[in-house]
Amino acid sequence: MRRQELSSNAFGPVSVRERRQADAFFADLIGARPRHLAASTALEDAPTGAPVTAPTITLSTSEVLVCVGGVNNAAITATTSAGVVSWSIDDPTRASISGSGNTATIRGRHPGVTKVKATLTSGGATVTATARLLVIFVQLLLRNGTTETIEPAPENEDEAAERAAAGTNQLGPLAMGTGRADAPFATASYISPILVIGRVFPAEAATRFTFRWQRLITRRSWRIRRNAAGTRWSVTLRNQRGPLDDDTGDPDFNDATPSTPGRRMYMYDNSGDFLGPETLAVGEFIHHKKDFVYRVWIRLNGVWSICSAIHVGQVITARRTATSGTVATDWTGIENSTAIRRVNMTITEPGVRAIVGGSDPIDVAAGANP
Amino acid sequence: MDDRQIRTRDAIERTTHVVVGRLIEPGTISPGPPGAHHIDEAKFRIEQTLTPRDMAAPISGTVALSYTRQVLPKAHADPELQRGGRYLLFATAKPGRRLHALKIVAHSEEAVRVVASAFAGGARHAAEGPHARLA
Repeated sequence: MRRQELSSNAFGPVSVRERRQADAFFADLIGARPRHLAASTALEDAPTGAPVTAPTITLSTSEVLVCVGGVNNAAITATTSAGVVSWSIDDPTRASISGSGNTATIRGRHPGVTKVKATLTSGGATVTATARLLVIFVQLLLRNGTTETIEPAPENEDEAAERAAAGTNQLGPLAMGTGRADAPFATASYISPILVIGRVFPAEAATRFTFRWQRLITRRSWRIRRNAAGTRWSVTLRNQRGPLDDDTGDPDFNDATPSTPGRRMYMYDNSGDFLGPETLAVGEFIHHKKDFVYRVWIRLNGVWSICSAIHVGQVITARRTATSGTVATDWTGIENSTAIRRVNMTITEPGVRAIVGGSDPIDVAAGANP
Repeated sequence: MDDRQIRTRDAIERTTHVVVGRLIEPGTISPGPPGAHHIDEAKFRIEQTLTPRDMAAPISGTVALSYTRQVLPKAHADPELQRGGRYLLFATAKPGRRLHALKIVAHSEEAVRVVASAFAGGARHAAEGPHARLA
């Protein structure tokens, strides 16, 4: 009878806790023992006679900052009075969340703003806490077309220094012997300048945070020569650097402050090969592979973390065609390509065959792939 | 090299060793980042390891060192290393008895004191990678 009365619609929705309180009150009133409760239910409720308080939940932060990218997860923690926290994202297209007890890990998916929601259910009551979630993304693009140029100032504040370092604002593979202004490389190198462009999303992130560029390099180059009899090809290691040595260079050539209003930042490189001192015979080759990692770091809550990264691979092949002493006329560029890709640091017989052609045997020296 | 940018403590935290070395052979050059040279295979005779022994195994003998030297713009140019000169090398060990230096400063008692002070103040090298043990 009393259960029917208490749960009737006339009194509105009635929780389990309220029913238990009413039962206890009635038992005390008439001197009856309370009914046995199932163990699982009993654990959810305060002991009989204890003061009843609503569950509480607070989050470790009012705003979560996370970048799009697998290494940029963020964490949030809930402090609760009791019970189990259930985590969710208001707009699940922006981020994913995985909870483990009172802590959740958030992974950015798409830039923008949404909310992290923590829901606590205890003793039949449910409470919710939310935090703002800002998902940041720095889109990295490669500009390297043969008809493209360095982004001019004021959008790219380092354009003058970059043009001066190369002697040109052209991007992509340049004519043999051009592309470096620093001695002894000027007139003696084979260069292919590029511009890596980072665009910050959403707009709010471009003005709130500080960014930093970083470039890492892993490279190897080889000489591909004829043997003394002129019947075989011999491949030897020429030089190497890395793996993953810092190659960021002077800040005069990388601008990590997002432009206004475009929210873009720029990092320039005029990478290539110095052929001046090479003593190869006519018909022999230099082959060079460079694997660059371009990273954008962001300072979030006082800590630097990687926000975005790409690999840019450069492959250079040049053939000696004369011995006049002038690189521009002594060498022919076969390849000087750059692309968003990862290049491996090994040289193989098929790879060499693609360069030298013909059918003469190829000997790859034991130390060519250290 | 870029030691204008990198403070001593940061250089320690981004490398595996600080050593004192004497330049024997200047190495080969190739195009580095804009306005900079890659110097490879510079031969250094290591005279002293400043990194505390409990942090990394000491380095001895002759090693091949790579580093980057900024030459343009001239206002930011790094000085050329002198054959026979003694230098403090903030470097990371690489396979094959090679080091890559992030920061190089001319040797002086004052420079050695600054490094010792940084270690005493809690500076620590990056976690040792698979190639960190060079000696």
